[in-house]
Amino acid sequence: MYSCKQASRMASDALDRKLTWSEFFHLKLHLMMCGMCRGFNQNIHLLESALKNINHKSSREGLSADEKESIKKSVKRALENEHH
Amino acid sequence: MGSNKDFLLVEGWVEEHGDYLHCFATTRLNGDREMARDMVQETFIAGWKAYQAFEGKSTVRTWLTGILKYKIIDHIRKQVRVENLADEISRDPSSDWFGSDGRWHESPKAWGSSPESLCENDNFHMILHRCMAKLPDVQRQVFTQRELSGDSSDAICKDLDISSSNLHVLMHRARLSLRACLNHHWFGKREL
Ligand SMILES: [Zn+2]
Repeated sequence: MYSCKQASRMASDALDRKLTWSEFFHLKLHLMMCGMCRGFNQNIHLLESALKNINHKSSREGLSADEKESIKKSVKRALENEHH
Repeated sequence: MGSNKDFLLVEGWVEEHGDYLHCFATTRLNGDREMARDMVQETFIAGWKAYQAFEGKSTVRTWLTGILKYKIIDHIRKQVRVENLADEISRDPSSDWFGSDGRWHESPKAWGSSPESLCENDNFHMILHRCMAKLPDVQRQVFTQRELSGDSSDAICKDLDISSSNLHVLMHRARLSLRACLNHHWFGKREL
């Protein structure tokens, strides 16, 4: 029987790797009986989806036209130095 | 190579791949846009120097991403020094969260928000960034690379040169801390 400490570790691991059957079984069993770990499990899943959405949003922001111009200028300067 | 023609090539890269590369770098550098811009800039310069060696076996974008990735890993490895990692692993913060019997000190409860509504909420972003900033360096690096960049666990272990069990320990700690911080500064407050 997992303690809450072990169960929270398995709930976290489940987001990063495939649990073994035995780990999966013990985690499910613990979650069935423990509302606190169910809460933790819901929280970390929500956190993960929120971060995915935020990431998706920020990836649409991109570089501004000014930033692109500034990159071009700096690269040009560096390339000119190469030639001399 | 004539410099004018070369420069047109690089200008094209900036327009075509600049946003993509910048996003790739930002998500791997804890959202540091400035740093990401510098790295993208260096990538274009390095790409230009190595262009003759580019054999067209992959797309230009994939090739440039490879150069950028190498620069980012180099930077991250310098930040996440070996000593930091050893310290962080040997520390056991579990008594912050659990009693000696392995039970929670403070009971987590389900949060009542949708991920979509959180995404649109700028105040939530601010709190989230503050909570992430409080994580120890090594945890923050592993966590952002996993959750923000969506890199696979294997790729992160390889990049940072850590074992997969170390990765899982660090992710567990980062999630415990972030969850508690967000609960304290955001979710707990709203539900009261
Ligand atoms: Zn429990």
